[in-house]
Amino acid sequence: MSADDAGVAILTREFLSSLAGEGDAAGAIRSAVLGAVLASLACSVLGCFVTLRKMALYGDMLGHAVLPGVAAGFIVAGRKSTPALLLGALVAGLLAAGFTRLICTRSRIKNDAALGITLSVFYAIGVWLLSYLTGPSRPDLSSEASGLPLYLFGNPSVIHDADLAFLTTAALVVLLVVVGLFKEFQACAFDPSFAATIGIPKRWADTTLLLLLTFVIVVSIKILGVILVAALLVIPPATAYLLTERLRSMIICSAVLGATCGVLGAWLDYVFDGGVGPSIVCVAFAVLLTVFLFGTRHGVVATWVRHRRLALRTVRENILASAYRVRERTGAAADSIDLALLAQERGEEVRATRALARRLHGSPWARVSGDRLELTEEGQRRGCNIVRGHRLWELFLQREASLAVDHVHAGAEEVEHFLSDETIAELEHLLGRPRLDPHGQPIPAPIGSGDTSALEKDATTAGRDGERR
Amino acid sequence: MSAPPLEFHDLTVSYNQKPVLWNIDVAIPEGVIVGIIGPNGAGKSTLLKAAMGLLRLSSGWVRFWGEPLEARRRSVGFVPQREEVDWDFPITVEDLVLMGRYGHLGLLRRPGREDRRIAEAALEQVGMAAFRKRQIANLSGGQQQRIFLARALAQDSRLYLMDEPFAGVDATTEKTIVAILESMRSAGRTMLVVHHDLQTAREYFDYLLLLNRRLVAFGPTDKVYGEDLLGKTYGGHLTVLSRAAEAIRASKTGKP
Repeated sequence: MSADDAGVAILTREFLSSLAGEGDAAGAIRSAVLGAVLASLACSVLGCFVTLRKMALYGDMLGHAVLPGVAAGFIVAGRKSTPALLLGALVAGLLAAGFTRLICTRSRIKNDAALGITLSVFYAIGVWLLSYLTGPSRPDLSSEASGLPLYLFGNPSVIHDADLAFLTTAALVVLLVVVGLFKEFQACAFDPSFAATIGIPKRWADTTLLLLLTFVIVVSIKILGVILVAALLVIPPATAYLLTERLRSMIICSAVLGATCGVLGAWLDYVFDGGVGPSIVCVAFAVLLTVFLFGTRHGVVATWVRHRRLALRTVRENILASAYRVRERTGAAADSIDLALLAQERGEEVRATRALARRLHGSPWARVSGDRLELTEEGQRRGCNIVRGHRLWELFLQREASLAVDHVHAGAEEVEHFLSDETIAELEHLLGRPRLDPHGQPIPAPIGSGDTSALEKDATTAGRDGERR
Repeated sequence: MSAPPLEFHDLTVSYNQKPVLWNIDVAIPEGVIVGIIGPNGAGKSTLLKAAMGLLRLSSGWVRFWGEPLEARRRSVGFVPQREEVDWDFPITVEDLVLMGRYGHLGLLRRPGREDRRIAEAALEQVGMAAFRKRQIANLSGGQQQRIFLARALAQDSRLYLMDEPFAGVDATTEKTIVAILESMRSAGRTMLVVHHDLQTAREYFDYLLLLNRRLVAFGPTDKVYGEDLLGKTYGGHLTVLSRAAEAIRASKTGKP
């Protein structure tokens, strides 16, 4: 174990023991962790609706726009009174929302540009006010105001009981509203027109969401900072969105992710410094990245594996189908096909065919042995079914889609790998149990059905048609 | 005679100060399927949205059984266009249909067992019960349209306004939907359906409402088809109307 690792272990032990420990230092850490968890939780839950309503930028805008309110609250109260600062921030947030709406409705400027304008203007005013208050021009205020820039980046080490009380309230209110008004929020987010027609007006839902959002952002900025608060409104919900297929599960998933990121972020900050806000965001992004890459449903790796498997199956099935056609043409034994004949059937060099046929190793269907492809009964059946599906599909395309005979092969070449036994049976029934495909090739009955007439007959008509398959 | 399920009186609707529907006067009788027919931009969807209170009226009024919408909300169901929603939304077929019950539930109330039973029955009726646990993105266009219809059925309304329920569905689904509409009619329900295919309109609808910015005709299908009204709906003769609308917009917005 290196010295650094030892340091991490020691700091981690300190961090963990202080969660249950006593004394001021432990209490401060506990407050920081609790604050981080509450803020992340509230943001993550509300963020589900924010992202589903495609309002992600709105959170970003509000985060920045509350800053001048913090400064104004300080000026009015004359000191860093938490309620005054929060009230100022709340007012600034609502003003910013109104300002954005005003730009949108009274001009042809579009929503995203309006959000950008509001964000930067309010933020500029906020930064200007903070610089003024902490700068040399107001020496009377600068010592009292020195903590204010903390709001830019957040700092949980200055979390007081009052902050925690507000955070707890915010988290509870968000949970209560989301549970209580679940159906209204869901309907509005999914289908606003429909929601309006059953008496849930969009404006009503928008206003509720906006008020909650402003409130949550305002109480969270002291921990997360005005810039990073938006990340918690977007990243955990986006992660949950990739993992779930129902809104309820998405919210629960996002809440768990948010809270976990809160704890881990606080720990990361304690061990490596770097700030709680950035630490939480980094953890949250690491989770998102993991899900993006390794998620079982939409993950990049899962998709890649799925495609590889499909490609392998296609190669294997094509060889089996070729083997069936060789047997059909030459009357060769069903369970053992000469690779040279197979290569000839496929129009390849023997070497190429051998390489492809080797990919059947590990399958229950066939394997290469010497110069021959040895097929199991299941492999023979599979090959026959592929050819059967292919020819039926060609006939179907020709008859039902009125495609020319020379157009049907390519489509069938792909579809043959996806036709289930039921679909094939249905096709056969639909086409009136046909015996020949559009190229005059016999359509085989499935092996094991007892009807092998097609195969026997075909040995005599072998190679009649120039276009095989 | 009792008040009609839906009546438009001198309805005018504008988008961005530009009138798109002019002075619509029509009363829909109970228990029929009405097709709303007209070319692109005729204001067909606008008419439905205006009726449902989704758009502000420039003039006139809409009444349901002689009352404003607010008083009869539960008796009126709306089926929006399929393109209006995000089909990647995290919601299952079952949950979407259950949304049809939301209008019957008060604030803070959750759907109960009876609501679930109704939603389930609606899914059965449109032949989508096997898909109840599916996320809605994993459905074909026709299946999506059918679950929209199931949601409407779950609303258990007496009047339905449907915006293009046949858009983007295959022939089989179209037949299924027509059969569902007919069974709804036999249950005494009234339906207004925005439709774009003239050929099938004759077969599907009892009444036709021909629309092109203004009401061209309203009446039983055979009668409307008999006269030369379709030509009037789809043919020109609208340049004066468009020019007037344009002039209103220009003077109100100050933009040429």
